[in-house]
Amino acid sequence: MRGSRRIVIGVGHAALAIVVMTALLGSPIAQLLGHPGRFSFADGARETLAATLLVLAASSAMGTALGGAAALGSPLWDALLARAVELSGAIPSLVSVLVLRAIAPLPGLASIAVVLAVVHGLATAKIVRSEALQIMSADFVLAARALGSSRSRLFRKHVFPHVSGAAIAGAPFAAASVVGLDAALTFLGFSSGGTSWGALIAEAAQRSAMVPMGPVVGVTITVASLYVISDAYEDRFRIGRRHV
Amino acid sequence: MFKDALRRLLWLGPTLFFVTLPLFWAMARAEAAPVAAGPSGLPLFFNPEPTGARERALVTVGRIARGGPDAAEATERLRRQGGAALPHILSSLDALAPEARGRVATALGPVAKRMQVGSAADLESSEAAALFWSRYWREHAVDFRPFAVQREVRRFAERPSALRFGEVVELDTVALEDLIGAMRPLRSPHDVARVREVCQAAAHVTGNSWTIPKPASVESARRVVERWEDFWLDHRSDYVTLTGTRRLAATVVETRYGRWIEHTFRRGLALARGERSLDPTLRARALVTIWLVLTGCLGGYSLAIGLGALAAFRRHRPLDFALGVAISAVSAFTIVGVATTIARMLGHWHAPLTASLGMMVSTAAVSTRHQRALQARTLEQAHLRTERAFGVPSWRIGIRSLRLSFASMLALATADLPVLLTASFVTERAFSLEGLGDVVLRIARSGSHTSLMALALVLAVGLGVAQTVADLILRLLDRRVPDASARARGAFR
Repeated sequence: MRGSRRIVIGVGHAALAIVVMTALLGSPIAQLLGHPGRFSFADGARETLAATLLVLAASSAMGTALGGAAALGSPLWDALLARAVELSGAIPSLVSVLVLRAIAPLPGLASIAVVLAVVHGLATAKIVRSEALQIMSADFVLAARALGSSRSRLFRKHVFPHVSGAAIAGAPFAAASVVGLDAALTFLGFSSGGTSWGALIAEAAQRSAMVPMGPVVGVTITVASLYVISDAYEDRFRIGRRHV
Repeated sequence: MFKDALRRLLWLGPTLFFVTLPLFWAMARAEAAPVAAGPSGLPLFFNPEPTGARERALVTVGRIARGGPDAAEATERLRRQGGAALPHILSSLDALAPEARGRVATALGPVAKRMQVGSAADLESSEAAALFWSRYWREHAVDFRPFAVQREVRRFAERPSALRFGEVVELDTVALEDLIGAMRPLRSPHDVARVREVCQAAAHVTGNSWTIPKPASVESARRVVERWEDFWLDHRSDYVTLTGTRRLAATVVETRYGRWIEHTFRRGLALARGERSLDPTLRARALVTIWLVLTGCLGGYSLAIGLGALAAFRRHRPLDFALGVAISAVSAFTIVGVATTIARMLGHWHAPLTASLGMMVSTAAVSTRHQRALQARTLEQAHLRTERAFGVPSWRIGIRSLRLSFASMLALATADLPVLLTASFVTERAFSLEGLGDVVLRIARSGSHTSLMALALVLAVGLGVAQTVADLILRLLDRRVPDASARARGAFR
């Protein structure tokens, strides 16, 4: 069982590596073969992966920081975060992207990435906060507090290792959200002007053509591999908690 | 429980207010016009010197008195401001130099005609006009006091007659605020008859042509009144004298932000009270969008629960794997791919039904993974495991676990409302349905930043209220769900 799991995790890493390599080397290879612009799928992969990476990094960092501050900080932080989560959950991302584009015209998928980073970041903060509150009542944290650990040290040394798994739990959905929102915006006439996977799907849908399989397969592989990888990291941190 | 819901609803207002401040600033920065001065020359957030009827009248009179090239434009401004300017001009008319006094008195000629006062001989020369206005003000100044104006308008609005119409017309624009106020309430045909006369008087003093024809329904009369109210929101500073608390309030209200908040709030409040008519086409569009969101929510989540239960029962078996692959592939298609593929396959046959099928499939694809995890966790509960150990049939355990996970499903469904709304806009486009999506996108394309922001706020309030109500239902369904008072830290509800 353990061996088969390792194989699945290895396949997940390999699949993601293939998608990343396609994104990085697709266009140069197409030029070498004398078909520049032929592999729009590879260009789309680059844009989509870059946006996904931004969403993942920003939302994890933001979620951990805000969730930690809400759990360990003053009740005001907690209340502010609660209101922010409610508000971000009530405004459709589509409208938020349009508002952001009206305020600051960002290139490509950047506006989508920023909005999704905030929305996912606040959702992650909510999860991190509840995990952190649970950890805060554990014996080892109480012992550390009794020994005079400061709040920042408590978070850094004792809480963060246990909540970081929860912070990356939403990773697989980041890629799907980026593509889904991009496709919806392009289909509704608010294209970001690039050749991202979402744009490729939406443009085919607008032309009444068959949905191109390249982006669909790309999204499926990316989501599945991120799912396997985040699951593996979550397990790793969960094992750490078992030692506690 | 209800206290918690009420607290959430009350918090929504202040939260949105504080969010709008930086957003409005950013929006203003994004506009081509400079931040400090909008189209009406108003500052952005704070107006240290708000201008009302008095300030405007004095500036206009100064320009007319000096003569020169801009006197003609000032005369036109004075004609528009009309009776509202008289208390500020006529009381100090005698202090002007004879020539300047003559110019101002002549400029007031069109106003006198509108007020139906004075004869042609009274206004034919500048000296005669100055004499006429001095005499007029000595005799009628008391009629222009606020309480007197209110009494005249109230009498006219209660029992309109030709005589009272004449009395209100003589007050001219100074009566406009009370006339606009007298246009409500408007609920019955009797109100329509009353408001028709009030609108007639308002149209006379402003020169606008917004009157209620005979016969007219309550709805059509309400639309005319809404035009008057919008006009008043935009132009009231020409007609209202700012003194005391009104002046203090004007430092905030007479700004671009204040105006925007007031427009949004008043219109929204009037709509909520049923005092403002909703465009019938908008109502029909809202029904289409609500239908799609509801079918996507109820149908999609029901499908997801069924598939999730199946996958959870067959965990780590081929059926679970096959379902996982199929669901991942459908979710990778995105709502755009799913909706357009179904639209192409089934054409526009019974479009609302096939569109709801698209919503259901895409919602189910996204939420089945969550449902599988929820069902798996539910199946691990001690009492269900005990039942299994005692040989209770799987279908019975399945039904029990479904009931237990229903509350969690409802919680997820309410959190997904904004996503469902976006999906609904896409589905409407794919099936050429006339829903709210088209209206929202038209606003977005119009480039009006403030309208876009108002739209975001309206959606946020609507969805926020819907989520609070859904959470309340959730707690009524499942008493195990704690509310704020039952929590130690109590912020996330």
